[in-house]
Amino acid sequence: MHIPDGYLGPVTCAFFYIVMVPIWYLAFKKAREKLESRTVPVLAVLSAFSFIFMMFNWPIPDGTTGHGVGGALISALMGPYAATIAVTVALLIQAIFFGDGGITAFGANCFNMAFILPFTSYLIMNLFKKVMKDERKATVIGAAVGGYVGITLAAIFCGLEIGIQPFVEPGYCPYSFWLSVPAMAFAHLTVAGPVEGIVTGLVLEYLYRYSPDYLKLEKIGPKILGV
Amino acid sequence: MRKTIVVLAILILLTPLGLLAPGEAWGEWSIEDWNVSESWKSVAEKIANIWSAPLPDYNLPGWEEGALPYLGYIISAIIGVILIVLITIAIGRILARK
Repeated sequence: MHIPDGYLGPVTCAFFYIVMVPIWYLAFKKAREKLESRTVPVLAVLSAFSFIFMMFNWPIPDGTTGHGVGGALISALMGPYAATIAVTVALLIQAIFFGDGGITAFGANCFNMAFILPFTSYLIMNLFKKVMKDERKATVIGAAVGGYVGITLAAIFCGLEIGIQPFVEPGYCPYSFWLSVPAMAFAHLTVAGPVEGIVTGLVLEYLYRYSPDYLKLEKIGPKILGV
Repeated sequence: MRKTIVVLAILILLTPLGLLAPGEAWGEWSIEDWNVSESWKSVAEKIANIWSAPLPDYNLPGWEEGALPYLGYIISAIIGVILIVLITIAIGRILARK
């Protein structure tokens, strides 16, 4: 899901940088209000986890590969804005040092993986918390389902961004969304989505059993659905 | 904290499993592989070349033979994790309540 340089035209790249500026601003503002110095190492480890998790490429039945992001787990533990910061840092290092995801496409990649994914998963987890009585079950199942839906939605956005290029800015990615959206959706509905969902649910279940304090961290995010 | 470091270390040692999946991610091909005319690719290739990452594809340049890409992948994971932890802690220190 890491859009390389040259796939998006300059207008699209600028657009997503501009969209991300207020999101990054709000993430830092909320973190300034709610982040505690004792939880900073937790955020650092979660950001590192996201980076490592993305190195595990999984085979997709169509011959391509896909990977989880970890944004749903970070969102469930520390809130969606914390996930925005953690995944943004991971994407930045990937782009600068490893050429994974472009510098010009960095805004778009952050929009998909550091915004759409964690906010969607958080919304869905909170929906489960509203409906289910058992807080623990709601968190584990809600975050897992949220991870599955969130990463798939992020992938569809990624497909749209590259797939509109031949129509809005010819000269960049030549393949239309008729190709890119189904390909991205398929990879994440079948493999990368289940990976994101299952890992999110398993880690949360493990933490509930052995380190439940991690479930009580203050969430850095907006109140969504009153949760 | 020690437990966390052990878990991260194990995950880092396992990352080469991520290289076993055949093929590459959809839409992350080299631009020269695009099925279009050379003139279409020229501007896109210029943009693609504005930045050369020091460790492209999570490997050390030239480490293509035998087990070297797997080792390069692990070294990349270690470098990436160290950088990310340092940057996130720096950002966190600036933002966090005392």
